[in-house]
Amino acid sequence: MKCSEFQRLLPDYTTGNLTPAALRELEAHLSVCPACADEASRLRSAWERLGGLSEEAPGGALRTRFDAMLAQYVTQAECEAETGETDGAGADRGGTQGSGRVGAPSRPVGWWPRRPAAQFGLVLVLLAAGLGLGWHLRPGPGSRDIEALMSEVQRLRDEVALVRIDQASAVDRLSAINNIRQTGRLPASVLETLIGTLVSDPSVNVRLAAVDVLASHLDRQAVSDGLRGALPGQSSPLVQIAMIETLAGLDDPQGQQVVRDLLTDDRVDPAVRAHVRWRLGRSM
Amino acid sequence: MRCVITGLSLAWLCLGAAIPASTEDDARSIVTVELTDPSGPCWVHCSLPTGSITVRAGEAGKVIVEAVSRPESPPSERAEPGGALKRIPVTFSELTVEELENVVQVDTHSFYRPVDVSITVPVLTSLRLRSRDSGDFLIEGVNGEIDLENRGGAITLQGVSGTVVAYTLQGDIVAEIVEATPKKPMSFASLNGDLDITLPSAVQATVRIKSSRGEVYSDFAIEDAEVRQIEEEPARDSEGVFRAHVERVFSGKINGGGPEFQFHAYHGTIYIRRGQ
Repeated sequence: MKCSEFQRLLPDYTTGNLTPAALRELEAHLSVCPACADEASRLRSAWERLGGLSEEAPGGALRTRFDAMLAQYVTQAECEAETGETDGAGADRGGTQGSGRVGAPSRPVGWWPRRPAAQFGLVLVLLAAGLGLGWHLRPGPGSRDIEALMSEVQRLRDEVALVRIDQASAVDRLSAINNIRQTGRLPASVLETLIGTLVSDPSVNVRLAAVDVLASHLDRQAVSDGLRGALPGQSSPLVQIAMIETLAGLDDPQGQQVVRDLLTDDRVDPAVRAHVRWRLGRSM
Repeated sequence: MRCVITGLSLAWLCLGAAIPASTEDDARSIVTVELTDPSGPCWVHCSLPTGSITVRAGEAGKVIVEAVSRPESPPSERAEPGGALKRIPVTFSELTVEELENVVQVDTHSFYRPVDVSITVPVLTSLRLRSRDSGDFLIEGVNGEIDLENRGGAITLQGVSGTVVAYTLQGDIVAEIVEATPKKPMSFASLNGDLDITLPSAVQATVRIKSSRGEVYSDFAIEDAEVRQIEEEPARDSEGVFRAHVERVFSGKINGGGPEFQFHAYHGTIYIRRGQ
């Protein structure tokens, strides 16, 4: 499995919900992968912090609303009881069915009790059952915690990527870009940093890796904007060719114009100009 | 400790006389730097406008830098004045060496005459070397993070360990890597040169290979290989130049996979060899 696949197991690992086989496999991986081990440690820490939060309980407002609803129902039931005793049964409240008497309580089904006291009792039972069911089916603290946890993990991962991409060593910057590729995500802050890398990273190899990642997110307008903006100032012919090929994957007249402009730029390497001529004569 | 040594090779500006560790003749400057922490790892950064760089592993605790300005070719378009006038070879290596806490910075500023720099370093040394023109890089026996960019020549690495990030504009990259740092990526890229990379037989890596116009060869068993080939119909461009474009993007795992090793060649052929 890849690191990204192992990292998907970390929430269950943190909450103790992994199968023994998955647990063994993950622990073997964590013992040899410092990055995943760090991630697991951060996740555990976040989980412990979440454990310190208080349990959710019904607030005072719920009690107030319930009391008000109950009082209203009792009043209404008493009124209906009086009306029923006077007018008899068999009327529809909406006046569209049955006798058509306006204001008469409905008697839709045979199981509905006729006596107000029994109706009131049944309503209380149904209300209690509804509240109980609602409480049972509510989004539990566990799922909210996992969601928050995943969000926290993702945010930490993005932050780590941004920090690592700023390293002095070309190898570490490459490593950061490879991690971004493995996550498959490109949040706006990371995208902006990658475009910055493309413009100003001193290593050709790192800039090539950045193009490679950006090429997987061509559906983002910011990616095509960034590539167009960075292409004319790019000093490496190899990176320029990689960017031209990436832009060629877009149906983008502005991108085509930026590529075409390279033909009249004296600073551009002859190999790049030859590639542009060939590319413009092809699909672009 | 900060150490700054500047060498100018004009005999009458021989600063080396004032610095015991530095000796110079007309075209040669030698500077010996004692490292701040002799037992610690070392970093050497060298940037040349034009010239070659050779780095060899040597004694621990010191870095020896030798810069040789290439002989000036006689001015062919201008006649020698003759008579009693003799041409005096003017050779500036314009070498500058700085050391601060085991980081050694080597620079020459000779834009018009190539300077060939040889550096002897401790085995545990990381390198960042740059040259814009007229020279090859040769690295032997070093263990560390090796970051090389040579726009005017080839790169050869022999018996190195650690990680390698290397780029050439024109020349080949030939590397024999005897040990790779686990979990660290590598990258090799060239516009016009071949990539001929020998990796340790037990290395675990995920390779990503992009070859636009050359071939790819390897004697490693590459698992989970995925090949994407973009081939377009050959055509003549507006200037009548015939072109065929075949781009291959290849990825796969060596020995179960590991950090990404990237190989990117535009014109050249890529060889990934299985070493010892």
